[in-house]
Amino acid sequence: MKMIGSDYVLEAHNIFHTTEVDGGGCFNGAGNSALVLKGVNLTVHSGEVMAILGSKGSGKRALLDVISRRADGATRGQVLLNGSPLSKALFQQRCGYVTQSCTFVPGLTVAQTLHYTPTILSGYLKSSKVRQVLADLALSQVAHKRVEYLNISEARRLAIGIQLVRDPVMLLLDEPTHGLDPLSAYLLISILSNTAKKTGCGILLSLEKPRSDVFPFLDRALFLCLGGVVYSGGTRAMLEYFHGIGFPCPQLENPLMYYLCLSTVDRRSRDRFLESSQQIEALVERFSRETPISDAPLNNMGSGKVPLAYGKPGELKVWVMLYLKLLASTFSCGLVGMKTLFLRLLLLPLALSILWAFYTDVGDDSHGFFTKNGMILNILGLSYGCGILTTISLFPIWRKKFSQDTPEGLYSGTTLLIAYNSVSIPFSAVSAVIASCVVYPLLLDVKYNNGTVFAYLLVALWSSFVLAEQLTIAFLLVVKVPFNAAIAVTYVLVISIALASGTVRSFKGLQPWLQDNTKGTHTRYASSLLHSIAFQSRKLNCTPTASVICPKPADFMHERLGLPDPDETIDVAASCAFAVGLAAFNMLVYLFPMPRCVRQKFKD
Amino acid sequence: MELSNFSSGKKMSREERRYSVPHGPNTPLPPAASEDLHAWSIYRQNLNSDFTDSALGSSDKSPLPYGNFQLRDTTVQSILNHPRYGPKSPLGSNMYTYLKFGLPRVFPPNAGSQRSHRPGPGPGAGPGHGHGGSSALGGVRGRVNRAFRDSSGAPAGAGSSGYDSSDNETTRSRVPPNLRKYRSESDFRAIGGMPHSRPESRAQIGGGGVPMAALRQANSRASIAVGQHHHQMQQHQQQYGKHYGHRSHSEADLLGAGLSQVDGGGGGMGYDYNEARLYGSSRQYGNGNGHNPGSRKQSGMGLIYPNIQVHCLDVNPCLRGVSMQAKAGDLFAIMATSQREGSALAECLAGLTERLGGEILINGQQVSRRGLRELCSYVPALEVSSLDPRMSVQCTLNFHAALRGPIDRSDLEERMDVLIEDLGLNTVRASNVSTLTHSEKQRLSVACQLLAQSSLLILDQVTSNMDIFDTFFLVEYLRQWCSGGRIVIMTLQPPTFEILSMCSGVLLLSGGRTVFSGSRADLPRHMGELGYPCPPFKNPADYYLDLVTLDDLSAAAMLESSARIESLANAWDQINSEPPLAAPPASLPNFTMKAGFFGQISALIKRFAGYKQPGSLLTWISKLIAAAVLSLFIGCIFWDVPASDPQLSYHDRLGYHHCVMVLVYWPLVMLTIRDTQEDRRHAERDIRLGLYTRSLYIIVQSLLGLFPSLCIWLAYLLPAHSMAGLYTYSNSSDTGIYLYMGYMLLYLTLIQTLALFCAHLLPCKVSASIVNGLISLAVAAVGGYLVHPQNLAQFWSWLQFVSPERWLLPVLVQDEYSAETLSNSAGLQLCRNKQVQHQEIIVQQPCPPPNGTQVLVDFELLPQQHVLDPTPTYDQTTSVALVLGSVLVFCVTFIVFLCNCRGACRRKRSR
Repeated sequence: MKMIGSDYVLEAHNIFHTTEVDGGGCFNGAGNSALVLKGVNLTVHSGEVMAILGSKGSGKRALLDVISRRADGATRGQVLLNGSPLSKALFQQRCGYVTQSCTFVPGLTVAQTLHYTPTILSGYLKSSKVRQVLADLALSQVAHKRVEYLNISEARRLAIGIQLVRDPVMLLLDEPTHGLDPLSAYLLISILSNTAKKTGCGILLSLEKPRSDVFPFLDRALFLCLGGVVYSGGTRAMLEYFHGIGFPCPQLENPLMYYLCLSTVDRRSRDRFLESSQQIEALVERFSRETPISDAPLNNMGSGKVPLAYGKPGELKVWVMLYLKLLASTFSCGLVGMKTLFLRLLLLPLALSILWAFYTDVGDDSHGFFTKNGMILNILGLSYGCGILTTISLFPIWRKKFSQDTPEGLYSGTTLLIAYNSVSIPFSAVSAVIASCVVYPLLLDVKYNNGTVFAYLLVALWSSFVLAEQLTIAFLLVVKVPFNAAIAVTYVLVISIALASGTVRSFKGLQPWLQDNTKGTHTRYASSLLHSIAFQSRKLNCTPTASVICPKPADFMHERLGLPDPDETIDVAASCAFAVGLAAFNMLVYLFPMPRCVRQKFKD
Repeated sequence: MELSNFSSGKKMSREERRYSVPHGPNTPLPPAASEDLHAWSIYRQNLNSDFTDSALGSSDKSPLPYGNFQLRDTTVQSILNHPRYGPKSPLGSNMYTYLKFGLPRVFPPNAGSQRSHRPGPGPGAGPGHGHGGSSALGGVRGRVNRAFRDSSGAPAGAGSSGYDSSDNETTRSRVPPNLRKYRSESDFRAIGGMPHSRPESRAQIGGGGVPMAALRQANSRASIAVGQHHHQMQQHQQQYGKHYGHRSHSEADLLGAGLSQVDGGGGGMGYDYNEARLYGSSRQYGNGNGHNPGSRKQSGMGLIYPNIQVHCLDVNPCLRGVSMQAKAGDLFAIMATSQREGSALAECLAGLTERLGGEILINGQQVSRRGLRELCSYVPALEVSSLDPRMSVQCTLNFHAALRGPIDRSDLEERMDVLIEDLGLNTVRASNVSTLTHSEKQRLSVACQLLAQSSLLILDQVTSNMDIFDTFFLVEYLRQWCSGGRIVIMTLQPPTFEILSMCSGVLLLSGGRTVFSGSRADLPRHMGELGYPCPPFKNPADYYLDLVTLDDLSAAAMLESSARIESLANAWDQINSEPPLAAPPASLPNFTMKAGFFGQISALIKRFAGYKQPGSLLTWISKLIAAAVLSLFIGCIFWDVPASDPQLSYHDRLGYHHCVMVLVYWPLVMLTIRDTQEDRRHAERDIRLGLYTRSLYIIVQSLLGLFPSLCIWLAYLLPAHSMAGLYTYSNSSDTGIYLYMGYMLLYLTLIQTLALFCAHLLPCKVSASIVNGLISLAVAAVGGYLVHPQNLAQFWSWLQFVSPERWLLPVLVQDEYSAETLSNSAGLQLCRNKQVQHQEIIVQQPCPPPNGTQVLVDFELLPQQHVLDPTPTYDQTTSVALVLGSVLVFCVTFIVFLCNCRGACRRKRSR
């Protein structure tokens, strides 16, 4: 039989899968192993909707993970797509997987979310595809609605749309109706059925409690119990099969739910547990006996066919999509966009403007030197604090999306961080310029403008902000709750300020080994820049009298920083080197695959 | 002849209803649009029928409901192009897609009745239309059981299996036809015999009266059936082992106790006595209006205590005119199309929310909201309010038993053990709640309320997101629980017919209105009479819930479904226009004992001290270690400050104090804010359930948290201070360190109280930290270190009076800059050579000690310059000020915590 060009067959033959039961935590060794799939066979053709039914612990998600090549642990058996073994790369290019969590970038609209999904298509073809997907999923009326205002039904459909935009030949869904009300569940299944028949995409979805009204839309059903297959085949033949083996469906029962109960171990009492276990074992054995296991693929045409894969979007294209998504999220006209712009542009200047309340009219006597010392402490603290606050407010959503997109293989952590820093660093530079304009009159006399001194102030503020930002990004790699990451970064930075800023502990008073350690912190160089600006870069206006003492700037800085005349060039280079170096370190760390405990933590 | 008249009247009513269903009476439509919508509806129903047949794979096609009906092109175009009823989305460009999306999920009235005419696979149809369905269903069920037994090979008399209830259903469903038929004829003859009725009104009265009589008859039969079922269960349980025998005895004791209390209830609580008597007199008047003694006697026979009657209940914002009845042994299911409606009804019945109108009677007496709270146990959904994850299963039950339990607490421990074992929580008895699965958490939440042994148990959304057999387990357990003379009311969407069969009563809500309320067995008959029998291979619970769901997928479906819901709700209103007779007043069931003031304090203390261990202890130890490590860092940085600054030129002493007082405690304060908000999130659930009051919680929590936090602050202060060496050269070295610790602990307690205030003021951890940071920055700026006192603007002078750092810094530095301390430290140093040229002679001068008083004068830190008290008793004044500051901030926190309840209630009402 000659197959049409667009027809695809997904086959799974004799799938056995062993996974590790989660141990106590990250530091436990290899835990216990459990056989979660025992000889599963299934076939899905183009345009078909197949439901995997089973209770909790029956292996539904494990089966989806094995087919999508995301499962950890030992797997035996074959997964074929048109006769070719389905590898991880092939799945990532030609198939889609929709998980239960719906995470979108706040500030974007529904149409923008679909448009900024990386695909092979571009330009007019992509716009047409996006419009078609919106129409197919009944999302056209909410195309210009922001994703944070969607209800759960619309959010689920949008998550499906993100996969449909990539035009997959097979779509896997993990309990898409979980948490939906009955009407929304009906709409979702009907849309999936209609999409499957319209685009020729095969759909494989898992359900835990199917209702009566979704039965007409399912072409095939697979009943799992503890990894064993009770039935796998068409829904029309399902009634005949169970009727033939002695389990006809009562008239007042939903066939899907009735046979799901038949496939579930009855835990109401011990006797029922034993009896139902034996019954299910008999059913699994009977089904495997009545269905001969064939290792040969159904479609032999694939061996000599043109390869299925026509490539994935390039790294540069993905980066452009991420960059545009970040820009659109920042400049979106809404509450999220205004919040993002405020945090990126106005938070640091606003925080530093608080200093105007306390630090005007500071003279150049010893009291003035003491007060400026406190101002430098506040400038450093506020810059670090604003960096932490901005990052824990804006970056976690991208970290969450990164942990969800990693199994799809769209981009690496380095690509994400390059895109994020491409948006963040220009904004922080502009923010630092505005903040420097705010702080400049407090430190220097406005009448004598000095561009070099202004540049020093700008570098000090900007490098402090970026250092705190990059340090928070580093902690957010392994810490899930943003507030806990903020606590950790605060812990590190308060020690750094106490040690190396010179504002609470003078350099001359430190132990010699601690004096050497201050050279390894960013705070030393930023503080040195601020001290040079405050005390060294201008003419002092002080007249010694009987009650007024005029200290020498060289002596003061020698006490505080250990250098009577610091070299601003070295300080500028070191400050920027710390910030940029930490950003590079983050890109390197985000490139490595996550340990299993960290990945488990970010999986919802 | 009379029977034929009644039958013809029924047919006429059915035909009339058929034509009026597509458009409701309240929605006048233009004639053309009306006709097109009607055709549209017919076409979609045909499509749905054909689609279902093809999906089921049946070889022979069932006849389409309206024959081979096809839409005309003009009709399709007029619908699609209509500005009001056409599609408002690009889906309209694809007509087939629009039709598919608009597929109705329910069958039209007559299609169902036609479908029921098909010959069933059982042994032949019974007599008449109405009985055919039940006979066929009975036959099918019998066949199911027979096939199952044959295939499994088990003997017929063996132990229970998963389908025993199906057998009971078959047996029960075979008995009623004869009884019902006989009763109907009798009622009809009695009504027909009234001499004053005219022939026209006779048929109408007959049509309206039959459902009422049938309902009453059904209730009576349900009572008898329940009794029989209970008797069978008793016999069944005695066949099992000793354990079941023991439980059977305990249940018999409970029944005996209940009966004795009912008998001796005359002198019981006089709750709402006047209102009850007034209601009784009203009933007396009704009795004198013509009801015969036989009817009253029969009604009395059907009543079982305790019972609850709800009539015309209105709950804000979405329930209107809800009525229901439940009695002892009833498992009553509330099936609502919207979870909000079901939750609103459950909360109102439990006394958590106020009702706008209507009445709630328990044992025939009006009960207020407060009485409902004391009579009922309420199990909320886990998503709404979760259990405390840091406590174990046993500790959670102990905590709830201490706060709310039965009046008789003699065998509380034994009852707790029985509950843990029966609900399958024995294997996780010592595990933390955070490690339980969702089903186990739900069962634990139910067990916490079952401890109260109340007669009325209300559960809200307990089986959502639950496994199918966990649902079976829980519903069956609750059925056994209520068979001991209690009432269980739960919001539920039964996923299988078997679970629906476990419920004795059903309330169907749609749009806040009652569509059906009564015995579960009457639901199919009621819907069948209205023209909506359940089609084959559909779960009745699914189907009837879809029947009353407002379909907003398309405009036409919205019109059709709203008209259908309106007609169904109106039909129910007509059937139940008369309020049911109130049960004769009897004593109220036992109230649950609620912990008093000292009981709540004791439970909260026990939870803090024991129930959260070892999780709480590990958290505290980790915070202690974090504080100690932070302190070690500061100690290394400020190592031996006096030795490194002999000439007082570096100001490092002031830097040390500022570092400890303002800069370095920030991670610990953020940890405090995080833990406070986390603990409060779980406490809000208990406060909402009424386990303890808000004021008691905030007081006990703050006082109990004081000692652990003092230990943490001590770990934060002691290493740093020891390594800094500020007091090693002092004359009062033996007492100075204790004074320093005392002052600093008071200061840090004030700082922590401020953090608690910010944590309770704002709901978000980040915003609470920001506000706390701003307050601390403002207060520290005038504290004496960040800004020199002489450079401080005059405008901010008032802020020094509320700056704890400004109060405390002079007290701390007095001894460090005293002459004796400086002399001692200077004596240890090698004096550098100072050479002064004096008339061409080099003279070696002795090394003078530094002038500490000059530094204090320079920074305005002298005792005479203290902002609060310039007198020599400034140190005592500072101590009192720190304590008063802590108390004052705590009072403000207390007020904020109580006021937040008001804000939350206001927000809830507006929503």
